[in-house]
Amino acid sequence: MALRPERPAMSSAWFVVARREYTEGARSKWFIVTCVLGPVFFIALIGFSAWAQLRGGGKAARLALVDETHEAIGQEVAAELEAGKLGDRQRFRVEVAPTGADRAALTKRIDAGELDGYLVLPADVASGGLAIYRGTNASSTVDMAILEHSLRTAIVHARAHGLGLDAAQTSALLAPVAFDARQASAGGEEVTGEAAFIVAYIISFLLYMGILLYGVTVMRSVVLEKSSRVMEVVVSCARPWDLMLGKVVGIGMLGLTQLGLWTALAAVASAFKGPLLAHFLGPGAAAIAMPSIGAGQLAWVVVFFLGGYFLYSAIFAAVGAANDSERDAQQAQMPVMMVLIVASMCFPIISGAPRDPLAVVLTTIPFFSPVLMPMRVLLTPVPAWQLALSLVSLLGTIALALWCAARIFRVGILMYGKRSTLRELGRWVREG
Amino acid sequence: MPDTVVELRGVTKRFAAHVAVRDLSLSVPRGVIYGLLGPNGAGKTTSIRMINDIVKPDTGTITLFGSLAPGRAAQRRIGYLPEERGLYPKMTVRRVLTFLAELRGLDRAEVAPKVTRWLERLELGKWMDAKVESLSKGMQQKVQFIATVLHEPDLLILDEPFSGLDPLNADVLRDIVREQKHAGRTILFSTHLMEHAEQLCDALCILARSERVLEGSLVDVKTRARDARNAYRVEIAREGGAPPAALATGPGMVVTRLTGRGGAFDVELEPGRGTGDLLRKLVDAGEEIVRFERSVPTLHEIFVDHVRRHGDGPAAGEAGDV
Repeated sequence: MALRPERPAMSSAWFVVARREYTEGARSKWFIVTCVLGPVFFIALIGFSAWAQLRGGGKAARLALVDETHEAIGQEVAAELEAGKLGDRQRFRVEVAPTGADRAALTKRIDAGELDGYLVLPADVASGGLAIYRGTNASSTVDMAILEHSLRTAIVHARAHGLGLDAAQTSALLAPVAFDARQASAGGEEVTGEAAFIVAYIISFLLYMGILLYGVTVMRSVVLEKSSRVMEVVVSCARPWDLMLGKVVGIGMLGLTQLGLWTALAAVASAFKGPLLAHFLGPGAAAIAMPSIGAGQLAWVVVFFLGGYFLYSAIFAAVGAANDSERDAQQAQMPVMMVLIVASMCFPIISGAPRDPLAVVLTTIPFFSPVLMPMRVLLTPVPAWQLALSLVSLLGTIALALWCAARIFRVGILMYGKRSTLRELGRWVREG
Repeated sequence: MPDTVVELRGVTKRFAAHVAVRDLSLSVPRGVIYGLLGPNGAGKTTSIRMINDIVKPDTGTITLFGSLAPGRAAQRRIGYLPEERGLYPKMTVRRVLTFLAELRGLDRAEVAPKVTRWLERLELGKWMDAKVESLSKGMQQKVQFIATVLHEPDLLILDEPFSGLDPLNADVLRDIVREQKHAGRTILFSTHLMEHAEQLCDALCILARSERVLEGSLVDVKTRARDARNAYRVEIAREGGAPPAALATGPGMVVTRLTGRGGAFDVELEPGRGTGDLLRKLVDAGEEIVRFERSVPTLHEIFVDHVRRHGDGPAAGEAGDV
């Protein structure tokens, strides 16, 4: 579906260029494939990881229990372990090994495949002694969580018994605390902290990917025009500025189209969220609340994404102009990509402490703010002055980048044959 | 329409280390084929790029169509075929032509019938919706010509148009150029191949080492060169052997070159001497004259002569693609 807006009799050169980038891009195999495969890939990824986690090892782990306590804590641990289930599958099958069993012998049995692990409860385990587990499934977070939970329950019971409490008193003591942590959000709706965290992560990652992918697309488009030698005809009828602007706008629109398409798909999917989650993750999952994003938050996300795209695509356009083969350009783009990668490595800092001074500083740095500020906005209310400061520094940098890029672009697009050094680029900017 | 389509006055363009064009003045009259001649690196491409507003002159003025400076308004009336030329490989022929015409300010609706007409004329009708990359090199060149003339420009600018063309396409282009001239358009083209210039040019300008060394109509340039040389071509009936005594080097004449076969000689006279002196000498010596003419130098000879005089051979420091 090509955009066919009404246009004046004589359209501006940048508009003609932008429309070409958009329509040719929308026809390319690359675009069609990513439009369709993007969501498929994403859903497959989420589905697979959920499935893999639920499935765990598949079979129940065979565990040998060495109980050196005098209070028969081992029996209770074994009972808890065998009761520990995920979905409807039992995770552990326990055999009780004789007290003082040789650990080396147990290890040999693990090597032989007769056992998956052994648990040693020292005599003083109830008073702080170290319980030891060695097994082939020690890296399974689900198994270890069940193991630790069983151990804790049994030991707490033993300790309660030691203090003279009866069973009823103990269970009253251990009754779960009702606690509900939710993200306070401007939209008024509250979501669980975990869900907000996941959504913020996914969106920030998408922004990072979007800026990188479409920025590189701008660069490739410039390089293609140079390598196919169509550039000189084009700049004989359009100012380099029109050409650069047209490319950035046209490819940006292509990116927004794709994101819009994916968002629409996500909206459809979330409308059927209950049945879908129930289908993939079992009946209990249907009730999982997904955070809804307020219009204000969404606006900031879009503003920073567009800002980031303009900033990086202008730089990528200059990189493309300074190189005339795809291979050279790919090398030259590395430093730019590194900046974005560093920004994405700051995700944990922002998500861990979105109100920390470090987060404030990071989200004010113009090369980082396009991917980091949206994450902050989604996780916590950001004071207006910080948003304003971040936005002003981003806009200022965009203006500077566009100005420099246009100058490099103007000289670079007709340069062939040699790779340009940074010093030459500096000269182009000064003299352009 | 003004009578001068392109006018350069004292135009200079400097790149970092060297001067690409120095104090260049020239004027291209309306309706002519104008040749910009010069060895590689003489500043032809830079001059053409300044006219197309791709690079800006440091000093001097460029006036197009009588009143316009290089820029968007002028570009709509120019058809430009650069030396470095190519098309978007992934676009279809029709779309690439439409895009380039739209950039020149045409409306999409008015482009469509022109594209069809031109493609059919150059026997590319059935390739209209094929991707450029699936066309042969020769067909791509034809598409390039169409892109240059599709918007019916008043001025065609062709930079080394024949370089890289196969002989068939060179003829196609030559026909288009002549036809455009008859339609009243002005053609400015650059070349370092004098045979093409001699066939096509009405007027010309020779550049060497970034400077203009000669400008004028082809007829004027040739007449001036003929007069400056004072040279004759003489054929006498003879069995060969040594040149006749009448043509011997000496006061009054200089034998510059002898072509061995038969009795054909190129003779250059001292300034002030003329046809009478040479004829009288031959007649007095009893030679039988088969042919006697004032020799007109070829454009090639004029070119080599001027460029040599201006400073040996090609200019140092290629301007290349700058």
